[in-house]
Amino acid sequence: MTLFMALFAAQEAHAATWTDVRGYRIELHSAPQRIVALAPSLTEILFSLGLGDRIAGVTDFSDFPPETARLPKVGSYKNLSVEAVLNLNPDLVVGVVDGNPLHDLERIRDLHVPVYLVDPKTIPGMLESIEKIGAITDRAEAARDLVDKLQKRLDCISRLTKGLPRPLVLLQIEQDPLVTVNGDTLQSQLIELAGGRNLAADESARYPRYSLETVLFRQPEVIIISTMQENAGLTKQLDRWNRFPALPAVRNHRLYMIQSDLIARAAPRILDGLEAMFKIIHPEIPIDCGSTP
Amino acid sequence: MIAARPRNILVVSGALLLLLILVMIIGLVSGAVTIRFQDLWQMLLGSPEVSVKRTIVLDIRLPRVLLAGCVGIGLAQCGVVFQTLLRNPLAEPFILGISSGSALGAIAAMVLGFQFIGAVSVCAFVAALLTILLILGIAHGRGPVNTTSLLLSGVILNAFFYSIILFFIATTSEEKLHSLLFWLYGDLGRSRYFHVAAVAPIVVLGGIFLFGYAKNLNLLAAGEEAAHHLGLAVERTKIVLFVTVSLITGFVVSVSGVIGFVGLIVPHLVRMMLGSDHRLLLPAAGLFGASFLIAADAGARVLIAPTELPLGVITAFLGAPFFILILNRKGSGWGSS
Repeated sequence: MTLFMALFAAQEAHAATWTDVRGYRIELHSAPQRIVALAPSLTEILFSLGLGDRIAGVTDFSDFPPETARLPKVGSYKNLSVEAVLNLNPDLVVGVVDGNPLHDLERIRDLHVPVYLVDPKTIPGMLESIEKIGAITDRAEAARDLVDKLQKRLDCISRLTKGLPRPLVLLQIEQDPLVTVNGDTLQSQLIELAGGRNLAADESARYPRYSLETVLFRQPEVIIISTMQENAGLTKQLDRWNRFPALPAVRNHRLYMIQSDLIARAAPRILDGLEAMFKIIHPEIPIDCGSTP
Repeated sequence: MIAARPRNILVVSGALLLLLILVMIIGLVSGAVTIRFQDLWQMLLGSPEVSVKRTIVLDIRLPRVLLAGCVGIGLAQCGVVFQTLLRNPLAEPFILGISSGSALGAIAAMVLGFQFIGAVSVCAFVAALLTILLILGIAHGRGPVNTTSLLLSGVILNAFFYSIILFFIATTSEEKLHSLLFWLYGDLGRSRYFHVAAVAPIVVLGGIFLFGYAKNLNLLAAGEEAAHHLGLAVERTKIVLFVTVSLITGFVVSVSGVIGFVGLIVPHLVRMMLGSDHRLLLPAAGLFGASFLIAADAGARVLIAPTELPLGVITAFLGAPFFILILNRKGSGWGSS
């Protein structure tokens, strides 16, 4: 009897109305079984909550975890195919406020498919998104555990960076032309959290095409190249910088590479990105916070 | 209009050369970082002291100014020749699809991730060559190369190449988007001395070669039939000129990306001021084109510094209104000599 009651309660708990960050309300009668994730970060979040087998479709460039490769694609997150989404007959579509075209989301919603938006633009925003997605997919507990673990790793890094000098960092997104990140980006938050200062934080464009001479003038102490390329391409990119010994980063051999998807996606792996960034900016400090997994 | 006597050619070229030197100095002192005029002198005269500002001027700005100059000379002179060759005031290096073919080569190299040294420039140049062959092939398929079929095949190839470029843009990851787009709007931010070393000889030798054809270009401008009666091998001359300017265009685009309007505005401005004798027009357009592009690139670096603008934005934005102003005041000068 108690078992029955508990089951009933769980069912009941799930037949609920949820309101997303944009104020849209969705009603779910049972835990969603066919979820379409409209951004690579959302795909990663769903997998990390153990929902991989409930994903019906993902966007182009969703490449992690590797199992994602065999999932149907619905276009890129900025250029969705509404038809492809509907064709998968989803019972929940998860999207991002910043990126998915609003008119496409409206059309999906108009056809009575529940659309739930999250806003994982910052690391706290990502943690919040994980909890929210956990709640609507009946994975609240897994989500809380995950968020706790991630929060601990985050706290560890912020403890370690306290009181350390904060070197000036140039993060290179592209070399031809030179493109970096301003203060509004996830990448820039990582630089600051890892105990550095972003050289282009004050720019107005999120991904400004930056003047090379300003880089020379501002004298970055660390240059990080964000790339998915293998070593051959990387050596070429490093050589470009090595012709400027007037840069402290070059004189002191502080040119590094970081895997771009680790620092650009608001997904649990961003903590790997943060730790990699910390090792680059403060190589002298071991990451050791006792209980960190 | 000025008569194309040797003395006049020298005077006009001398004056434009002075303008070019002035603009080069302005180009060297403008940028996101303030560099004073007196410091510039010391650096250029070679004080051995290694400083950041010296690196900025000598390793970043100077190759860029020189490359902008070469590209300007090339585009402007090619514009002059294309307009005469095709007897069409709208002809410029871009209308024939050579630039978009070249851009397609560059973009394909980026998207496919070719890694060998200079991959992007090499692919851009090879694509330009293939485009030239394609245009000649299409135009030749209908008997002797005539102007209309050249223009038409160029316009159609342009549309075709752009569709493939847009396909690449639509399917590429956001990471690579910047480099793709900047190729389409022109970019001299990559300039290195070896780019200058590769392009300068082509532009200079090409310029001398074209100057040697100045009289024949004058004949062609007067009408193909008249030129034929005056003993010019019209068909052969047209092909030689076409291949020459296409090669120059290919070289130039492979280091700068697609920079619109220079090949259109500069030749017309110079025509309006000096008349359409090619002995005067060619050197004047080249020198003025160099000044124009160096100034435009300085603008691209300064306007919203330290963010840089694509060069094509400046050339079109400044070029178009200026052009309309002159056109209304002086008439196009097209066809009058």
